[in-house]
Amino acid sequence: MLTTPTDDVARHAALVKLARVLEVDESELDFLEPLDVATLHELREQCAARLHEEDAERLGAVAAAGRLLPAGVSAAIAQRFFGPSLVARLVGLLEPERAAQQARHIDTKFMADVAARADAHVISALSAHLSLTMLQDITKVLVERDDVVTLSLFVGPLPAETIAAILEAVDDHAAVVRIAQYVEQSEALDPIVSLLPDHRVKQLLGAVRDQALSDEAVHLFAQLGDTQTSRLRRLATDVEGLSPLVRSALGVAD
Amino acid sequence: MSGTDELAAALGGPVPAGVEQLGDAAMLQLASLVDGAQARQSAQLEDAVRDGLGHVPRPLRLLVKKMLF
Repeated sequence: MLTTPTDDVARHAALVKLARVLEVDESELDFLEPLDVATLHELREQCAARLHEEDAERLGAVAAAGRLLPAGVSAAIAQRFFGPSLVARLVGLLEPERAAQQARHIDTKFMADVAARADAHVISALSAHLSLTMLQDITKVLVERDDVVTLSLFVGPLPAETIAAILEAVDDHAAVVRIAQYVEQSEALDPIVSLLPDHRVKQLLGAVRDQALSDEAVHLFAQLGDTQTSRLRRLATDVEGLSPLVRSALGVAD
Repeated sequence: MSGTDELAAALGGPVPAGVEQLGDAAMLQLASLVDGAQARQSAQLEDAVRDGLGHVPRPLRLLVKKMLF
């Protein structure tokens, strides 16, 4: 059973994350293509730590000053003047409960921008204090943008039940297939699939067919245990037009 | 300074082993991107603090100002 995303996908995700830390377009990092994933991760962590260290005192003072203000006021100032990257750094300095209080006053699209720039541990801490509705709204924005790299950071830290509940609000049935490629904690995928109702799995398989996502689907299937593989095999017999690759991966008889 | 030295200075620590294989020109390019990101972040932070302060409710503004400057 595969336990990590393929190297190409993992390298792409690492480059996207590094580009976001450096606030540059991904194409500006094409010259880093020869680096392996572990080196790119190390580089990103060093860059993020350096940027954090550079203005740590100033950011700490801003976070402390923000605690004096009503959550709505500090949230409005943060959104209007600080921009998503600085807010992502500030969120990491706040108690998650306080950050979640402020998040309730912030526009969903801006929250999606912040999530795209936040570290995985910040997303993990903050999302545990956000309402399901807010998580669903943020997810819908990220799915619309096809920002599967950011969405993948929710998988693992958030319980499978929460992820399944979030997905109920997402109309794009293949989203989970595209996200799965980028999930580093791939063992988290089987419990999520197990919580998707049968009709939802059939919709997922239909979307894989319609969006020509056979390779991506095979990657997801490779993360599933025997129980879920058998279930998908059974459900796949009700879905017409699946590619030979998908049918073969699930062991569907011709 | 060599590309390794420039990048180490920009990163504030040793260059990851795999990065040196990219060569001097690529490391200088990367150092420039890191320096640029730092400069933009600091400038954005100063602008945000200055502009945001004007929107702090008046009774708290002096206290917040003392904390920030």
